Amino acid sequence: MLEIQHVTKRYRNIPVVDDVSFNVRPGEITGYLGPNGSGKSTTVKIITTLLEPTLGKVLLDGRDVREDPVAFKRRLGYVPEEAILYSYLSGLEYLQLMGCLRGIPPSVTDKRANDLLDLFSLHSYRHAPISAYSKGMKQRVLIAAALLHDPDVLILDEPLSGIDVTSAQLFRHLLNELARKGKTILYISHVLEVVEKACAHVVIIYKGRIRAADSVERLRDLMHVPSLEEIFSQLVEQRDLEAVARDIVTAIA
Amino acid sequence: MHRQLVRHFFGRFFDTESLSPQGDPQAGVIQTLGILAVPSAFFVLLFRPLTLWGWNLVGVRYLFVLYSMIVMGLVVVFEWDALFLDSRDYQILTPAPIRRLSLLSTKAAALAIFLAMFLADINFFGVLFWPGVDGGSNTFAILTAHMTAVLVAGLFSALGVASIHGVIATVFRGRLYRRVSVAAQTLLMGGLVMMMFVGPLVAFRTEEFVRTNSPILRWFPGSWFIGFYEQLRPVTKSAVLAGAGSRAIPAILIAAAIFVLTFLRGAPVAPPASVRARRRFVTLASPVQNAVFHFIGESITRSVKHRLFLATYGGLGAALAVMALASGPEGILRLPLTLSFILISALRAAFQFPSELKANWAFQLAEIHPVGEYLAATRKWIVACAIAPLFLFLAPVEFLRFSPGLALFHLAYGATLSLLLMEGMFLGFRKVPFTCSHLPGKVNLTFLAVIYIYGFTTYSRTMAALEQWLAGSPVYAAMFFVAAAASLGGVAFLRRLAIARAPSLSFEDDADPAVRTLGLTAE
Repeated sequence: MLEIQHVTKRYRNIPVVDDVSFNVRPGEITGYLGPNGSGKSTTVKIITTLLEPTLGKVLLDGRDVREDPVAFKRRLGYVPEEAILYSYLSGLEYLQLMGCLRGIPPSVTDKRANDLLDLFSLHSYRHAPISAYSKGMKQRVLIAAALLHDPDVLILDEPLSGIDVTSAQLFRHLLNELARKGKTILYISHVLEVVEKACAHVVIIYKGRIRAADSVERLRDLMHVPSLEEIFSQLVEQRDLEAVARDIVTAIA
Repeated sequence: MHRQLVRHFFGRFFDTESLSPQGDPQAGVIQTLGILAVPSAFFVLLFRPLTLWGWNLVGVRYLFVLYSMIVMGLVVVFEWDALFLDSRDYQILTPAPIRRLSLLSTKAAALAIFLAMFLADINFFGVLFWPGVDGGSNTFAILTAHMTAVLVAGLFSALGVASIHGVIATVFRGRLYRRVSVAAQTLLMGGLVMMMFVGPLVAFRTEEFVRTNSPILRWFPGSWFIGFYEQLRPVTKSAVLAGAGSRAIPAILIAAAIFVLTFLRGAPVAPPASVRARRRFVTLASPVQNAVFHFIGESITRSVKHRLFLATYGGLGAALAVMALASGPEGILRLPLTLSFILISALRAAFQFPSELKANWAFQLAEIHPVGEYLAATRKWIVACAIAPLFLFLAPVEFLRFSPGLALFHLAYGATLSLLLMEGMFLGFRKVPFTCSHLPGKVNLTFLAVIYIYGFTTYSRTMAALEQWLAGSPVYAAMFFVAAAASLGGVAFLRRLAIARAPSLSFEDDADPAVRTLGLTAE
């Protein structure tokens, strides 16, 4: 189990993430929601050890990931928020790089990379440089790279960004399949419909603090609302969006 | 709107990763302008007390003409892909209601301002203080002639390089265009850097070239502009030199015409670099070493910034090779040592510069192997892809010049020294090449200058002398190789100790402290 315990991150004494605690259980998909700037990506960077917390710790199966980051990284698969890859490499070369960096023998990496590219409908583009890929194609390469070494823990930050409907459906099935195999999955997204369909548990963060952490059903019951979108709207202060839309039209007139 | 478009295109000349890898183009531009203005200021102040005339003055004039030409050529090579309207411009600006003629005219205006800025910058101090160098009395005529000659020479060089790209863009299409364009850009970079070092040798031999009516006067563009300068303000009364100058104005008009015509046509949209499989000829047993090994090769061959950086060193190497070969029989012994020194130091410097730094998260999250593995892959790449090819390239020259035994000894000696050099230079290197941020301000120029001056002069001279001595004594030669092997073992031991003390890779260059103290204590 992945446990995030009282994690705080401050920049110049201003907390970006403030005393955040929640658990991600194996065999379940946990959704992590919040508006832009709420602290989602900072939390993710702390979990993945890319960023050091000011306070708190992250445990995997009871062990602090900072005490043995190598053991944690071996078990981690990560899709970052932005599709930043080495654009001069081809999709196949990128997967070969990532597989070998993960310690998979080159021949096994080659086979696995080709299989994944085929399954993600990228095989015919495998030798083209990533700079020529669309956003959705880059995202599929990142997902393939995150799965290449069959990790126990998957942290997926907006993995469906730019992905077409068919690939998104495939990805939802894939997530369920991975959860059934006992993987620990943290799924970060803005798309509430996807989170509602895919995640057993959701954690909602707003202005750096956790506002809710429970199953979608329990949150619906507790808050007496029919959908995750309405739960989210109640927990997160939002502007009067209709009024803002009217103001935009006025501004450009 | 026109003004805004000109500003947009002008800004795009500075929107390059090479100029500001840390994302501050303005500071990068100011630093670059400052650095480029210094040499003409330095040389004009150096020659000012001499007050020259005749062929001596021609030699010094030539230096300034060449500097203007070389730097303007380098500036255009650096902006190679920004010379024409490209697909990005069309994608962004075509949806807006702007006519193509407006796009072309504003792009041309931005390019003209950009070139004028660099022309003025690199020649400013040279022109300002020039009257003291020229032994004549008419200050205005001296100043005007010098200014005209250096500006026209620089403009010709810029237009000449731009027109080469224009011709390539017109003649070639698709993948062939990309390949030829990349090759031309790299060769021009190397050639111009080489001229920076060989130029002074040409400049001070002008009298000899005139006396022998050398083809250099007819075919080397620098001669046309020093001849043009002589036409503007004669100091040698040489009709041959002035005659060479008659090519200057036609040359600049031809370059300008070619560039304008190809500029109006625009550069072709090049397809992605490759959509075919690239064969890998080497597979290392260790997966992580395999990953780093191929990552280095793929980055160094595909990153424009690194290719141009290495071409700069290549130009320096070519210049030193020319000088070594021209220096007599000892030169052939010095050549491999000098070239290997330049090659290894070039790679050391190139590996420091990041390539697509934001993508290095992949390496950070996959740092799950001992650091020694990553470093071993880097050293293996240098041996397999740099040192071995260099000595294979030099082998035919050695076997042609020396007996087989001596040639083999020379090659083994050079390769052994290269290995020692590599181990020494990479002892403190704790990175996967191209994945660590780099703060250029931290480069210790004094230290680098000492290292390079030693490398290019004392190192190659001393080691060539040692080589000559060892070649006469098989016993001492054997002792040298034993000592070298022991040194390599010693370096490996030191590296293991250093890794044990700090067992992780570096992904961020340490910034200078906010407050630098003198480190004084009360004791």
